[in-house]
Amino acid sequence: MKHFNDIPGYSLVTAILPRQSAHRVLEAVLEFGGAHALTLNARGSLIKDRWYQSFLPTLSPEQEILSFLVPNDDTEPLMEQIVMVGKLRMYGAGSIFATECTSLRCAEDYPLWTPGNYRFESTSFDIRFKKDLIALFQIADKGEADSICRTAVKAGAQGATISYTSGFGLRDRLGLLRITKKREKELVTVVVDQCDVDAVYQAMAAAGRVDLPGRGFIYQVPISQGLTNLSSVFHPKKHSASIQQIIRAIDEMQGDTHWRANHLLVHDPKAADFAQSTRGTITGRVVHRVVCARKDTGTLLDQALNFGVPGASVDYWRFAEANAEHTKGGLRINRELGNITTIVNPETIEPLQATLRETIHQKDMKGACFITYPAPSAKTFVRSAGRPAVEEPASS
Amino acid sequence: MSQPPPTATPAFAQLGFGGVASILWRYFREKALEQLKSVWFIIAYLAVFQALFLDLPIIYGATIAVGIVIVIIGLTFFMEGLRLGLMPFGETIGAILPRNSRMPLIITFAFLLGVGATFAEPAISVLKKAGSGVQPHEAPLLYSLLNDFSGQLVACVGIGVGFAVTLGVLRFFYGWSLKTLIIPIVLTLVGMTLFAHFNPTLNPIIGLAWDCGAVTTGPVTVPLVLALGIGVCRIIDEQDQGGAGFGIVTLASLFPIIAVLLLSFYHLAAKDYHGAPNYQGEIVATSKTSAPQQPTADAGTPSLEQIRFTREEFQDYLETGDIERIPEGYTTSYRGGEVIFEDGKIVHTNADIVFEKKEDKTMFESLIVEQVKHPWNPNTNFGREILSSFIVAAQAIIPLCAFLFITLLVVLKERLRRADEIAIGVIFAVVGMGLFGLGLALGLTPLGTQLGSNVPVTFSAITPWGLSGTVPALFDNPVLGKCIAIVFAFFLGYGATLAEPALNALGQTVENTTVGVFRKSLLMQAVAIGVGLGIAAGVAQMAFSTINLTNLLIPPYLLLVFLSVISSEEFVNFAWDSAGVTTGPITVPLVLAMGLGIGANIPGLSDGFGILALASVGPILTVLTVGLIVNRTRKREELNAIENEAF
Repeated sequence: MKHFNDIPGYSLVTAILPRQSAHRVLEAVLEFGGAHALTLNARGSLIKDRWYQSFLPTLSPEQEILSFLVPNDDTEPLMEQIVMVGKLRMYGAGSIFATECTSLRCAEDYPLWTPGNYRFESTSFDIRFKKDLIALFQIADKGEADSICRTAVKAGAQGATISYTSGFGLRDRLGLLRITKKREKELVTVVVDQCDVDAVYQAMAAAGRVDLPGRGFIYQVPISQGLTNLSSVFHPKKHSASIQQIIRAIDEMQGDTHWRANHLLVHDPKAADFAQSTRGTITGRVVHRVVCARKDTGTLLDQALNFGVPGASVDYWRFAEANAEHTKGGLRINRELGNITTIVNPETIEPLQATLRETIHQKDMKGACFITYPAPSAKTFVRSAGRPAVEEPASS
Repeated sequence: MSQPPPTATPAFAQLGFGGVASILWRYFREKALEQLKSVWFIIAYLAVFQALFLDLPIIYGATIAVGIVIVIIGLTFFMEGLRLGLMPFGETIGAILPRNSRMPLIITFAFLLGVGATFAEPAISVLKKAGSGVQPHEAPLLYSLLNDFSGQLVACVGIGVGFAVTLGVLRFFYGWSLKTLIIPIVLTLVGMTLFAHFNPTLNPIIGLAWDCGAVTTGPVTVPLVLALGIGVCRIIDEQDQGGAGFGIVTLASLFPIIAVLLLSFYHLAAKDYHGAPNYQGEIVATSKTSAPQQPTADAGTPSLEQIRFTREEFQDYLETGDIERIPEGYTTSYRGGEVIFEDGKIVHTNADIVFEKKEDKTMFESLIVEQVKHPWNPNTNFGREILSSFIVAAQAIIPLCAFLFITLLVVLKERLRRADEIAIGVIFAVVGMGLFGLGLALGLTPLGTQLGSNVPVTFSAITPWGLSGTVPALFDNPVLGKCIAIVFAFFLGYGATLAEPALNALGQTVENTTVGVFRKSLLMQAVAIGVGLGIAAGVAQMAFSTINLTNLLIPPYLLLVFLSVISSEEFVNFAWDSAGVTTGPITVPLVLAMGLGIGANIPGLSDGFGILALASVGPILTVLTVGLIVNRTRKREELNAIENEAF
């Protein structure tokens, strides 16, 4: 049996950057001793706030999601470096956040980022990361993400990022009839301040109708520290940008965003009722991610579905390594890794991982790892409202 | 591991026939409606224009209606087949091949894929057929290429495409920019075309060479080649990631042109074409055989008719001396003679009096009524049509898939995951392409051909397609009529492009690889408007002046080179690739028919080729323009961000 090490004290650092700066950031991180990064293409949300813009050819902002699995001690220097290189303090320059993993289990041949190897020391300026951010992830059918983003931004989120993923679960229980259901899904990622979470969360869930069967899944992930500066409006009006700067300046001075919470000023019992609506809400789950070689992804996915995981979403990330091969033209050849994301009960992790490890051992798969982090609140269709079933249904 | 998870119970057993049928029906309906969205415009437009605007009947209406329904069903299956079968297939290979194998293997695979795709392309066989229509004494070299050296010709095109795919893939490994590749290629091409243009023997080759470039990129080849490119680019870390994976299609439509021109240069130098000293084949007698000059219009070539008096009317006039007896009326004019001023009167002496018959509408009405009684084309041979279109479809798809499958299994030693799904996809693709071809032959092509041929009625009297008799010009003012024809040409190009399956596949791929940044609809609209403008420009040239092919082609291509230099890499990729795929099975017959109709009164430019060439220049221009607009707004946003940094 292949040996899997339990590795404590690692965080998942995610940076969402515009295409132009993503490459620069990645090269800088690898140069300063970073071992590797996972990257995925994404797009920013595009909101047209002038009527004539719908007649102009417009493109959503191109973004890239960089994801690093880093020892906790290296988290802060890494994030500081990304903020500096990516100029994340600029309006619309991107966002970065770290989530502490509850557990990380890696096969021995998974190239882990060795602690203390990272040499970046920020001296020039002091960055204060926000400690009260929450990341929201929503899986929706392809084509629905834009309206969800619009809702999220209206409800107070700064900017939303959309990436593509494929959903499995529901469709694979149909036999050959599965061809009738599309596999393509969109994953919306939003980072919001604690005080905005409820409003944004509810609005997004309502926009995507996640409480109906087969309409997707939304979950919250706590962020240990982060910074968000994503623009969402396509031609920002001159003043709206500066008011955001003022607010951010106050945030910086206060150290948090609690001062912005307006429920202290206005008490609206109806809104409170709505916010507390627990329809379809599931609490205390964890996000379980399997990272493995691209060609093994399908096998492990089938194993997970066999095991009884209700639904899974799969995406393929480029795995940029510092010591990768290069082409004759001097371009780095990256590996591709598959990533299987599921939301499960904490109790099911052990048996699930045991099954997967057996498959990994049997088929001699290389470089797999399991990452889990908490998802304190999630919403999807549950069989009877308010009383979550033991196995929540598919996210696909 | 192709099985779905064992927890899946056989759906048929559980749901029963009714349940399965209802799921399938809803699925089919949704997909068919999606396709309807892409073709309704061209169909409605053609029908409305013919029936209401030109006020001509649609001949064989029933056959055409059936054909159109079949086109939609065929497209539904084909696009679904692409989604389920061909695209994942290509993607799997694209993901595995570049990582697991060495460069020589990748290059060999790319080359073979290019060659194989060419042989599979249905249009290639059409080229061979076209050879029979060429007169050896008019264009000896062209005749020889299509008849004596047709094997060499197809091989040349195949090698050209193979080489293009290889270069396209190598480009990704070395990080060459597409700009630096295409600009010299296009300049070479323009130079070669110019050279050919001024050589009387080579001149007829130009059309063939450029056509070969257009036909090699069809709806089967494009998704596979794109998937390969994208697969390679996913693992290679590019500096400028814009448009990663694209560009192969461009090269695949440029290289065959060069290959064919080179082949003809060779034969010109070797002097072994028809009639030349070293010719090996049998000299065909120069007697004019009744080979059809134009293979496209089968049921009646439009011709510009002079309204004439008949012999009987002449006899009648001789006997009675009464010209007023002609029911349609007449016009009188005087020819020759002298005019003198005499006694305060103007006297015209020794002049000939010419009576010309006026155009008659009433006589024509009766003809129409006669034809419309037979809405079903009696010449339709269903069995033969079905057989031939399915053979073409199977030829295009099955060998390529077998090649990919064998590569995957034997060379890469990978098993195909979810093979049942992919198998269904491939079957769908074959069925869909077969039905699509059948529907085109029955419905869309005849409709488009009718209308295309009838368009000149806006400015001149013609014999409408499939009818006997003559209709007068719709507008007395020929300039207005020609303008209407040009506007019509624009929308014809626009609508036909939106329905092209290869472009739909390209648009889908662009949207997927850019994660929705570059929408399919934006690309399709830009390309469709470009094609429309190109076709309208071509028609305008034909209608108003006789400009030769070379002058028509070279200035736009030079403008393109300039625009490409100043555009961003990403848009250069998208623009040139979409130009490569626009000329497909829907656009080509419609445009050719219209070119034929309009060109009938312009000697030497009756094949509509110039229009097709402009139709592929147009979209490059529009997509590059869109790119320039978009980049301008992007730059402004960056400026905004920098201003805001001040805080």
